[in-house]
Amino acid sequence: MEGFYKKMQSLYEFRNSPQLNPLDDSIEDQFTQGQGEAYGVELFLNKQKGDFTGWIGYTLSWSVRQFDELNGGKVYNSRYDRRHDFSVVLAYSLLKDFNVGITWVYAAGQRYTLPPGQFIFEPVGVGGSQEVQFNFTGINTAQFPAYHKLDLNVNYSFRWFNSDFEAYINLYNVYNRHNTFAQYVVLKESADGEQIPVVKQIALFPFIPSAGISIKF
Amino acid sequence: MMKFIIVLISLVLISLFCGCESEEIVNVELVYEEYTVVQAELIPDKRFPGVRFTKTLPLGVPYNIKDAEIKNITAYLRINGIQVIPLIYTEDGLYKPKYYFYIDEGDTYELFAEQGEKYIYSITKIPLKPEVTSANYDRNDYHLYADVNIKQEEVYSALWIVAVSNAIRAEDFFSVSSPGNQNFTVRVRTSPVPEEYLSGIYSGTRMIQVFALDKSFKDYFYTRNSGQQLNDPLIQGTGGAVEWNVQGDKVIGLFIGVTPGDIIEVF
Repeated sequence: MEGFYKKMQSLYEFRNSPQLNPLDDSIEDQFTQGQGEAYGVELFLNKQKGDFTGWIGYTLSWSVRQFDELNGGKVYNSRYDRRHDFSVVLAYSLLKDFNVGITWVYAAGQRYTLPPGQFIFEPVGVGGSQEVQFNFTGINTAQFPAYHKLDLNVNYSFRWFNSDFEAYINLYNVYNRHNTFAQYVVLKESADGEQIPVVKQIALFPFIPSAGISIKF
Repeated sequence: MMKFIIVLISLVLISLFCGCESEEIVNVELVYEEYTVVQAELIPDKRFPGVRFTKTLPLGVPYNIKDAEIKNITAYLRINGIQVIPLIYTEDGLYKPKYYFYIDEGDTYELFAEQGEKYIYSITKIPLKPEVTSANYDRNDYHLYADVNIKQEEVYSALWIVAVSNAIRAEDFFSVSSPGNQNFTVRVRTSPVPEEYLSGIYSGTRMIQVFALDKSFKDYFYTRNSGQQLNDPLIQGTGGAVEWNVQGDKVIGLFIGVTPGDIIEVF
């Protein structure tokens, strides 16, 4: 079990409303500098002897950022602020050349920015019609659903033509969890032609079975 | 063995055809937070337009002013700390005085409003008409700029105008200039004039209009687009709160004085 604390200086993020004029602006002007800190505790248990081996890891952590020019100077959670991160990896030798393994991981969802509402507003000074806008109240105010998945694998070792072979079957994301890769607002047109802001989610890597044979020579 | 290989290849192909990515619409009801939205733009020599009070609506529904308008606000204006004018609900969340009046430059307007236990306050000073000392055309990146005599508590922005039969105008300000500590003037610029209006036949039609705005506009201008374009999942780490000039718990909005200057030809 161990604890950690890391203070970070000279972190860079895009400024609010970056606008690059390629003729007289430099790309450096589009960034702003800030600081951050990360801290937490880690627990690790490992069994290495016998037919039954494996490890369990758990991390409880915090990660925050502060930029004078972002979020009104207020501290906010980093995109990678994950309060809980838990992993279990187990392996069992059923026979001398035949073993099975199981891996389960769980992590609190990644933080991201999502507006908690929509409103209309007229452009100031320049006239024009009212526009629907999103009410952003801060940075990384929302969180993806928790990430978790179960993987199984079976390995069988054998000799053939004086070579060592290993056949394996892997089942990735056995219960086909749709873990979120990204969520973002898009405008969807209703049957009446109205624009409705909705949140779309992209999920990557559903249940993926795979198998193969490796040869050692 | 051959059967095993065929099954194996089939599994791989099925996985590839199914794809590794899925997209779906998710329910975001849980993230909804209701905010009160206030907007009023006060322009000198024009009638007081009223103040619009609405509430934010959740994502996932079409925006409808009838769902968003707030009818139960008690609101009034105070002008120069003396004259008090009650505001009355009219329609679509718009609150107006019983009798119209004109906005005067240099005056200070305060907005007081009460919605249940929520208190709303804002203050703005109507800027004086901007005094432009010179206006020019930058031939490097084709924008127009002007030098303006500075006044305290004001900031400046500008638009380009091409004065053809149907005058064409920039859709938005490019930047906001605020007074420095030392100088008596400040330079304000427009966005670049579009390429189609750069040829010689448009010389003599290119104009600049400078606007003086309450100083709070600057913070709003530079934070207003924070995260507004979230349709790219790769930039979703950016974004943040907009800096409004209306105060109150879960209140956003602008109550702001804006004074347009004369339209000036740029040679």
